[in-house]
Amino acid sequence: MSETTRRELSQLKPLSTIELRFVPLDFVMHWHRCGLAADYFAAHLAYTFDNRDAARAVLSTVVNELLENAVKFSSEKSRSASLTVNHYGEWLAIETRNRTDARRAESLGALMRDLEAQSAAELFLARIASPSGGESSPSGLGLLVLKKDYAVRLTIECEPVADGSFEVFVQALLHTDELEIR
Amino acid sequence: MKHTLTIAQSRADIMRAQALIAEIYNREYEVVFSDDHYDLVAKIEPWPHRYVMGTIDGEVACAAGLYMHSTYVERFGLIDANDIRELRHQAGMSADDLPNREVTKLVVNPKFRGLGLSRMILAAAHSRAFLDADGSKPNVLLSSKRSLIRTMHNREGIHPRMIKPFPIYKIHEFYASPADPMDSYLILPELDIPASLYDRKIPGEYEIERSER
Repeated sequence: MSETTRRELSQLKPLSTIELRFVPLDFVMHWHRCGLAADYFAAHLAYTFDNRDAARAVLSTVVNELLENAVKFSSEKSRSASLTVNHYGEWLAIETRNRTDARRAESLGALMRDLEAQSAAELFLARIASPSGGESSPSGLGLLVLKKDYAVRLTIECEPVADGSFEVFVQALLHTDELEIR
Repeated sequence: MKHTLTIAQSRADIMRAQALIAEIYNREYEVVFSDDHYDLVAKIEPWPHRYVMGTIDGEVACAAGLYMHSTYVERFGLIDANDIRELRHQAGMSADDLPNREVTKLVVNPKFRGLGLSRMILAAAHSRAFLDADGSKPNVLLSSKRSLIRTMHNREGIHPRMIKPFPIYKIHEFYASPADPMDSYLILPELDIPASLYDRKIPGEYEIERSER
């Protein structure tokens, strides 16, 4: 479902796009900025919904989680990263792009492999019972919660680049009907 | 090689000092910062209120912060006024309740490591010009792992007085360890900091003294 939807969406021109290019260090210096940015994106996007309060609450949570992850998992905090939201009408695609190191890329890859083998709820319980330590070996609990509790279709890709780092792409797909009825 | 020591006064200089501290603390300890919020489980630390920094050719080479109030030791080290009064009494000092300040977040830019700047910023952070610009003769607090007290402070002639062990928090998982735990300390500047350090003038230009270690 997610892969098909994602391929289809990639052929479409979004109805609306909003993008933030940022330096992760700015958010490390003032962590509350993650919430501020997420709240702004959520308020901006909520105008297209009838139930704006419900939409804003979900969108703020999802954007904040992806933004915090992009900041935390950026190996070079001064290298530019991005947060983009594309609105396709039926679907909202919230995406982050950042660079990370091999260890963190492997952790994110392992999270995606685990998600293909188990449900988000099972994986969440397993990782609660046996958490990994520190963000350098992330447990991915925040992303699992998005999938488990917010019906987010999650995609994580890590592509090696020439300097030995990895380009990380995280996409959270939300169906606008599901989002609005919360 | 010379470096210039200044107290960060302008918004731009404060941002420069904070940027170096944030980059290093995040890389080494996964810490993030906030002006108005802290959470030692989520690794969110409060920013200090004042900064001293050393620059080389205009680039920030080292920096340190100072909590002017609401110190880390008081907030998270579970130290109260009685603990400080008792140590002051033992040292033969007045039992007056003086302001508490805390030296914190000493960092050296990786580009300039190996030059001896850690000693220079440690000295600058323990100068009267940084600690006591208003003449209030504050108590200086400190939280540190034991190895740093031995290898940094004591070697420079600074002798912090241990108050009590610092509680264990997740935020310190990459800093301290059971083999090298953290403690809270009190420094009485007139007694515990050598005059050559305490009287260091800031702003000023100084030759970097290479470590003899």
